[in-house]
Amino acid sequence: MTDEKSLIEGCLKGYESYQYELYKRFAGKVLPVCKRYAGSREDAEDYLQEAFIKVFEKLHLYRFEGSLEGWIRKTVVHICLNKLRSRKLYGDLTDDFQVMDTAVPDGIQNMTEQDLLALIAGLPVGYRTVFNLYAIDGYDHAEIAEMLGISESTSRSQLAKARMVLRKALTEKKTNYSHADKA
Amino acid sequence: MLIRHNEDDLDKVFRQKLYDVEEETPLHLWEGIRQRVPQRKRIIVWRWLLPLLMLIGGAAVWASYSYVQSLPSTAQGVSTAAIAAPEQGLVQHATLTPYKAQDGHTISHDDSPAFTSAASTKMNGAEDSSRTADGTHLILAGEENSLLSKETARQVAYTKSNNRKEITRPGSSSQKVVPIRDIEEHEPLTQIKQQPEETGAMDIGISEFVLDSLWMRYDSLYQIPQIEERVFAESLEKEVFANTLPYIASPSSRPARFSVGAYYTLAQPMRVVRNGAADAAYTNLKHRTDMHLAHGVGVQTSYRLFGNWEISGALEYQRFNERHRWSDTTMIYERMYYIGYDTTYSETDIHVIPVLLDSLVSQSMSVKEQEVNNRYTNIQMPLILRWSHYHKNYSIGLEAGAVLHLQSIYKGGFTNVEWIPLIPTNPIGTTAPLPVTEYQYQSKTTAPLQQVYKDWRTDLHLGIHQSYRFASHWSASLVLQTRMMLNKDDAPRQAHHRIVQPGVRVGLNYYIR
Repeated sequence: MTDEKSLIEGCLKGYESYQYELYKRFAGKVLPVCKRYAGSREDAEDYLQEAFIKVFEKLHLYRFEGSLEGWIRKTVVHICLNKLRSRKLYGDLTDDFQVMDTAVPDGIQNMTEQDLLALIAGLPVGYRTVFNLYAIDGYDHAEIAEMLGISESTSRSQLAKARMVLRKALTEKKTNYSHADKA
Repeated sequence: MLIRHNEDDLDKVFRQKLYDVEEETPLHLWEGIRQRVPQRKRIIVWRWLLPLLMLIGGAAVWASYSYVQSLPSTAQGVSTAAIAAPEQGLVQHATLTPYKAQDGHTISHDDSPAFTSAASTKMNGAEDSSRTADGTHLILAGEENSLLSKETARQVAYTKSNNRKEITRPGSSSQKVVPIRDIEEHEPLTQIKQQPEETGAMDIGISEFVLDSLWMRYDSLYQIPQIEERVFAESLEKEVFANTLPYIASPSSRPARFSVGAYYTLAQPMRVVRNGAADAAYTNLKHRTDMHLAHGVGVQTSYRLFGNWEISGALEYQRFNERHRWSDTTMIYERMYYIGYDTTYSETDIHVIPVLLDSLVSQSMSVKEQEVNNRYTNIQMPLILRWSHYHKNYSIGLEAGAVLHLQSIYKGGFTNVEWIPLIPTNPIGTTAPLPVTEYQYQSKTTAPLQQVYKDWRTDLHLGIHQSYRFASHWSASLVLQTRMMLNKDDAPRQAHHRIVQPGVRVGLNYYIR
């Protein structure tokens, strides 16, 4: 396997084989990220293509500080946000919500990644975006506020709403499973 | 992965399960990316290195001979030679005295009536081989008893100029200047020293001649052959004389007329799609074809017709595999023809991808893909006409011809890939239907390889031919060739395809005299 430095140099020189090697190495991880933000597979594939094109265009800016995967992830997230913004998908976010529950519904540990992705896909775009940024990709509210052009309190409230919807969905899902088991 | 204090457990679960999750990406995504990213093709060095080295080597040999030929001679105008020949036994040295040649130069000759007669006969017989580059006849001493007299080869000229002796090599107009002291170091050539310098001639005898010629076949013209022991020379000459003489004594560098041999070919088939092929089915297909290297072995025979023209026929068996994949799509897309090396899937594959996908198209990409493995087995009968320029042991030339071949196509290992839409459940609990966002990948392999096609085809053959004779009857050849199928190809889906096979052929030939 080509080492990371050679891989980047090959890509910078425009060699297709290196570009494909980089794509092959990271596309599998990038696609679920895109799916989390996009909410649909078609959009996710579109985002992934845009993201890799941007990665190849901007690869010369990578300074070998931190992992390449981390750099690509950040690029992908930014591309996803740009795409969502261009489609005005997360519109005006408000901060009119207060958080109550912090418990984790039972049975979530047994759910597959696809189930969880489907749950996230079911969230409204604003909730989904903030939840992805904060809960999974590890950005804090200040960063999210800057990235999305909102206030930190709005970011917090969107996150809380997202959690609430997810908990509700999980609880209902568990109930449905229970009914199905009894039947 | 970021870990926060007082983190919501829900976040933690989602992060644990989703942060590092991976999944397979569909094939068409990369196609969309590669069309939009500026790329440079990487040239696989090894693929071209061997033919390139051969070309450079051939050019170097050619240049060196040309250079030697262009060197000024120290004995201006003296190219007439006396030919040493045995009268009794293989090693015999004539006593030569000065002789006036036709062109007025003083050379040596045997003054006896026999010699005069032989020389006269030779001149009147006028084989081209008895004439040197500047048109002066060669004079043979005692040639009626000499094997050499039939194919004049050895020219030994002696001239005294600035205390140097000059030797002219057989089969070449180039000349080697050898200081007298160097010759005297070779003790076996005692007869040379016995020759009075005033005779103006030198005879080094048959054994030296045979050895000399043998060494010189591998050596450059810059060195005099090293003859170490006369005993060794005499024993060796008995062994090799009969076999090698017809070859080494020939001033012509052409080989014998008839040869048989065997060869191996390595080619890279490429499928070329004719631009604008009107094929309704084809426009709705996204193809990708991976053609693997073709290997072939064959036996050949060749016959030199006249001059530098040669005809060659062969029987060859060739085989290669092809992996052909396509997917159905309902979108109209721009068709782009791309032929070139592509390291996308392996170093040896060449893809011909007649499609340009962009992100919009990719959204509507089809949900069905198929893959078929084809195997081509060809029995080929090339008939090739070749023109070669011969120079010493090396020849280079062009060849062209037709290849009649029986082509069989085996298909099999079918892999049907289907994307089954998964109807999503609404996680929030509403009854509104959600769009299909997930597909399940299913594939199954079906039939084994089976012959589905068999027909006669005709190829056009073009090539650059090089050969080198490394022994009296043997030569090795290397050909940079390409073959193009003239007929319309049947796959995929009756499209107007051609298969072009650039490659190399290496062979071994045995000349029959």
